[in-house]
Amino acid sequence: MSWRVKSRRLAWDAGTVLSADDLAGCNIDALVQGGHLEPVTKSKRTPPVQVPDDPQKKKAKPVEPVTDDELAEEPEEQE
Amino acid sequence: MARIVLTDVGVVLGGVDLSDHIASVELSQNFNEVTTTAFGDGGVTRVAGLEDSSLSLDFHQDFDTSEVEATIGPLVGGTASFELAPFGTAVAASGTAPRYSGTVLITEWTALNGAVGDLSTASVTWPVVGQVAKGTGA
Repeated sequence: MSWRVKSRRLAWDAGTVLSADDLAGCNIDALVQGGHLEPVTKSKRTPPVQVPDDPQKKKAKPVEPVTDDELAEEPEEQE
Repeated sequence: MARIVLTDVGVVLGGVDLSDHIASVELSQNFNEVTTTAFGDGGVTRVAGLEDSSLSLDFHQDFDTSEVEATIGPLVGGTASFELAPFGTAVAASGTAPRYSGTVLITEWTALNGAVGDLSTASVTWPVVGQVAKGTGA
C-alpha cells in the first residue's frame, strides 16, 4: 500500500509517493481524511481470458499408424 | 546568551506542519512529586515521579482542504505525534536550536470559537503521552 502527497503541509513535496514505512508514526487515516494524502491504487493486470478447450479438439481421432507396407506402396501408374 | 524572540516556531502535528495557523505555543514539562520522607528526616524529602507534561496551542481556525479543521478534526479522541522547532522546521536541530517531540492525546478541540468581528481561534491544552524528547542533533 502506498499514498501520494496532496498537500503542501507535509515534509514531502506534493506528488511524492510514500510507503507505510515512510509514514511510520503518522495517523494515515487521519491524513487521508484531512486531504493530505491519497491512496495510490495499483492498476491490476487483468488475467488473460481463459477460452474453454474445444471438446472436439480433445477428442481428435488418433492418427492411424502408417505401416511399412503403405510406405513402400508405389503410386499406381496411370496409363 | 542571546535572548529569543519567537517569530518562526515550527509546529508539526501528526506529520502536518500547521505553523502558519498557530499563534502561540507552550510546552509544559511537569513531573509528579513523590515524597520520600522517612523517620529521622528533618523535613519533607521529595523525588521526581512520572512525567506529566502538556502542550498548549492557539490555532487560527481554517476550514479549507488540508488546513486546520481538516487536520485536527480526524485526530480528536486519538493521539498524534508533535514536533516543535523554535527556529522553524528548516533549521536543523542542534544544541542551540533544539527540537522537542513526543505524542499528545487530542482530548479537546474547539471547532468554532469567537465573537462578532473576531478571528476564529481555538485554544487547546493536550496532555503528553509518555515523555517529551529533546533533540539536539547530536
